Amino acid sequence: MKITLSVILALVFFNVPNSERFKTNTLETASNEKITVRSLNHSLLNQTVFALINQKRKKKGLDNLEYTSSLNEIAIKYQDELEFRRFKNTPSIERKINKSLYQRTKKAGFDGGLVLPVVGEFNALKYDGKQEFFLDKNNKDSEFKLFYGKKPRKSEKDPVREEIEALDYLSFAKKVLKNLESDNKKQLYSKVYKWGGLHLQWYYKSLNKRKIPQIKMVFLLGGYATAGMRLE
Amino acid sequence: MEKLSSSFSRFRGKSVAFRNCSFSNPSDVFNEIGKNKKIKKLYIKNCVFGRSNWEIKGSEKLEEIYINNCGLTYFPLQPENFPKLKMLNVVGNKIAKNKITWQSPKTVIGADYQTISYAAHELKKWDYKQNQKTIKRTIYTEVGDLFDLPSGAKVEIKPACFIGTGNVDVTGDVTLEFKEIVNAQDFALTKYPSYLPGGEVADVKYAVEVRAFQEDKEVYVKSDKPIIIYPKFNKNYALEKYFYLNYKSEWQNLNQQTNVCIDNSETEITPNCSDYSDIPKMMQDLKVSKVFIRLQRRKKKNKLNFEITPEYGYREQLFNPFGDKIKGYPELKHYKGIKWRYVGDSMEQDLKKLYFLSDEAKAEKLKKYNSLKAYVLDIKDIRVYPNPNDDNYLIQFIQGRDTFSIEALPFLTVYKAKKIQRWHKVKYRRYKKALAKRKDKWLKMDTTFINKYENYEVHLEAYRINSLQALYSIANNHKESESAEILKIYKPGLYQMASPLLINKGEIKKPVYYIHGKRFHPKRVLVSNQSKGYNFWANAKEIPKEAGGYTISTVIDNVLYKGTWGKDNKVTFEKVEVK
Repeated sequence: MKITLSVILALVFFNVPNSERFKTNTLETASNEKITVRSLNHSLLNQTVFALINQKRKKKGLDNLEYTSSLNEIAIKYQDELEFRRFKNTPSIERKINKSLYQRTKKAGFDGGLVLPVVGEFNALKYDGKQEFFLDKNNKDSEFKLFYGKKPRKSEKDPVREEIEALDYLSFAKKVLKNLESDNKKQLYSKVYKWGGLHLQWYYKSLNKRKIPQIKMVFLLGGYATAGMRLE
Repeated sequence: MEKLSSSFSRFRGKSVAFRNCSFSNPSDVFNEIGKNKKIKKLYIKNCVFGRSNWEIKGSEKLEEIYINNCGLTYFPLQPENFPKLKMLNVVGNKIAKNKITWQSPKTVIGADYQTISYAAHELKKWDYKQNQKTIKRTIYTEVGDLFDLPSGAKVEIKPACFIGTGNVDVTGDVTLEFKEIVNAQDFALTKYPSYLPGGEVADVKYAVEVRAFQEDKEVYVKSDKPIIIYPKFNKNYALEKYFYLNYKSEWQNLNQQTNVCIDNSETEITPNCSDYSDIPKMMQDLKVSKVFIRLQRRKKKNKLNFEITPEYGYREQLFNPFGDKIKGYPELKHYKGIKWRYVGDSMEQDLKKLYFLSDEAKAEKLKKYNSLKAYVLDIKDIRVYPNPNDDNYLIQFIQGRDTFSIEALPFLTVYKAKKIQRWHKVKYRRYKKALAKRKDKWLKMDTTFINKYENYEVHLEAYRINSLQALYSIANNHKESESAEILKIYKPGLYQMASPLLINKGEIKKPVYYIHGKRFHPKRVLVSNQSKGYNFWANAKEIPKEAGGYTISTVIDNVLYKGTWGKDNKVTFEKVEVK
């Protein structure tokens, strides 16, 4: 009986398309791993956000965005150039990127004429946004050194403070998606765009401060301006 | 001459002579000769024949036949069908001596010609390859074309003559590729199959490989509208036309007949009167609208923008009581006022091409100014396409023989992606619809114009005949003789116009070859007689040689080597740079 079940499971597993299986694996890994500063897995983070966006597009009856390495490279370049810029005022950053985006993507080999940047900055910790917290610089066990409550006084014996935990990759990606939906819903879920590339990295200025650490994102969407002409 | 009258059998003369005649189908004429019971002598001198497989039908009375200076390469009769024939004189032709197998009649040939043949196993290994630069020409299939090739041969393409796979009519642009096999270099580098169907060495007078493509797919010619090539020859030849079957390494005789009866004389009319008030006039003219191109270049930013405006507006009025005289571009109104942004990779070159479409363009202006206006003359057509390789448009300019396309995108006032896509879609749909309409209109205008022109010519001719004969002196001037030989192309591939190679008083020679100062032993070489203009491949050890200047070529690792074959029998190969 056990042998028959395992054979059926194996058959089911092997019948799932490769891309789907890869996506499932990615999301499974993303839900088990936590975000760290020193060894942030960029590709896992990028893939998780990308996979969730495609999942949502599928629900809406749209084609998946195709991951394009040339767009990804351009996104990395913009991240490097804007390393010390905050991504709070997103329209301003997007305007700035838009000025040179078409030229750069064309040079990088992407032949679509429609390109659009979507940028954002997101909390990387599981912080509820209400409670008071402090930075304990001397704590060597914690990576982010951020704890709920007030800083313990010297007179306090064996103070116990709850650490603000880091998010796992999947939860972070879900958070990103939730944030993006409010501002850039139309672009991300538009059938005009067929290709995408993105890069997420730490906003270094937000680390080691009494601040919730932030991860910045540059998402580039690509499409064909003259697609309609070709269909006829 | 097409035919002899059937009453010729009752002709009572003792001899008949044809001098300076052209026979498009000689069999029709010479079949009748034998029916006459009185003629004893037949003279055929300086005549041209449209076929090279004709024969004089048998005769029981003919005693002497003279066929002189007719360029024949074979005997056009079977002596056993002429029991009383005593004399056969074929001086002035190129007939091989080894073709005579009979004892009588007495045969005067006049020269010691011989043919050469390849062994069957040599033909099997033949590896013809068209690896040379071709001449490309893009034509507009709806109109057809007439143009010259570098050798001087004229090519006529009939309108709507191409079909694609599945017998579908091909519309739009078709690119033709021609490779003429003209000089020794072409023969050598392509390893040209210099033979005839029977394996005889060929004297190739003209060879060409023709192919046609649309968007990289090969297209074919309709059987009722072949491509016609008029090669330029200095002399009249009786040539057979062959098509090369590459997979069999064989030539196939096309049995194409040639009308050699074309009159090359030109009538010269000298007027004796100055009053031509009632002469018929061509009232309607037809021309293509000129186009303004306003160019704006920003040197520092390396950007180029341009606008296209037809000179006479868009000529879209449906009703014109005075008749349309100008071919306009109503379809361009859909892109009216649009500024195009150049997005190609070779801006400087394309800018030059665009600017020099105008007759008044000046090179110094191009260097000096950022903003330029070009007034383009004699444009044949302008078309807009979506670029198949990129997300932009191809704007194609057709001017005379030149066609070129530039990559561009329009400046838009809409910014939303969906609206941008929609804009392109809607505009292009309207443009395409208008373009189809305009093509129809142009075709009708062309037809009307041609009909009117033909009508005008008829009136003019009638006027000449009826009203002006007394006022004009008319003289016939013979033009320099032009070949009436034509080659009809029905399918893509290699064609040749050739006759068997005949060598006059040839002797077998054994040339000694040198390369880089050392002895060299090539297996096969290309022999070129420059005086007589023939090329053929031969075994390098033994080559038949006649009078005249010779060169010998060979190809080693795709590099051409050539040397002169002089009286000392030495050939020193030197590398030839291929242009």
